[in-house]
Amino acid sequence: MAKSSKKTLSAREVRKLAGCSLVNAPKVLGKTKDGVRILKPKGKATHFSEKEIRDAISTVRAAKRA
Amino acid sequence: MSDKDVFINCPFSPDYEEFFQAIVFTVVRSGYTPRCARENDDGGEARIEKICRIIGECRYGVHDISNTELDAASGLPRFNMPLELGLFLGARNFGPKRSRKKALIFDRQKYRYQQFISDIAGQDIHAHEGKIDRLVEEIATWFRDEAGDARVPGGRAIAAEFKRFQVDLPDILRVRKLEPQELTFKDFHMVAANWIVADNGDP
Repeated sequence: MAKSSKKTLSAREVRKLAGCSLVNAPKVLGKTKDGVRILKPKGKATHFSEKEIRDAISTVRAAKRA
Repeated sequence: MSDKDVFINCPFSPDYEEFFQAIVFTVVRSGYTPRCARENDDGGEARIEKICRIIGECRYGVHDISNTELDAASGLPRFNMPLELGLFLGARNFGPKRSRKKALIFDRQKYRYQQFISDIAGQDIHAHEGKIDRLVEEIATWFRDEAGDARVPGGRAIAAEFKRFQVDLPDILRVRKLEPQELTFKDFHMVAANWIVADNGDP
C-alpha cells in the first residue's frame, strides 16, 4: 500500500504554527463603521509619532466642526 | 508572504504624486497594507534587493505602467515600472506559492500597452484614463472582489473620502509644521490610516 505523503502534525507542532501566525498577523489600528479593519502601518512615521498624528487630525477636525 | 500586503509599483515623480497617494489611500481603506520601495531608507540594501524582498512578502501587486513619456533631460523613457512588473509576474510564476500572487495592472488606455509591452497580452489590463476617480474605483472594485468582503466600500465612496482627506491633509501638516514636499511614504501611510479611522470610526 502506498504511503500517504500527508504528515499528521503533533499537538506541539500545531501550537507552534498557531503561535507563528498570531505573531505575524497584522495589527489592527481601528475598525470603521462599515466593519473594515484598518491595519496599522508596519513602520513608524518619519516626522511624527502616532499620538502626534492623532492629535493633529483631531485638532483639524474639531476646527472644521466649530 | 502576507495576504494583506500590496506591492505598489508606479512612478515616484512629483506629477504622479496625487495618483500614488490615491492608490495608498484606497489600499488602506480596503483593509490592506501598502508596500513600496520608498518604505525604508536602508543604504546597506541595494534597491533591487529591497524591491525583490518586498515583492516576495506581498500577495498582491498594483502596477501602473502608464508612464511611457521620454525624460526631458535624457530623452529616454523610464523602465523601472515594466521591470518591477516583470519581477512580480516572475515571482508569481516561479515562486513557491505561484498560484497565490495576484496583479492589478493599469495603463492610461485599455489596449495601448500592446504597442510597447505586448508580451503581457492576455492579462486583464485596467485603464485609469489619467483620472484619479477612475483609478480609485478600479482598485476598490478589484479588492472588494478579491477579499469577497461586501463591507469594503465601493470605489465612488472611497474616491469621495479621498477628496475629503486631500482637503484635510495640508491643515494636518500645518499643525505639525511640515510642508507637503517633506512628507515621506511612511508619514503619508500613517496619516491616511489614522484619518480613515477618525473619519469612519465610532464617535
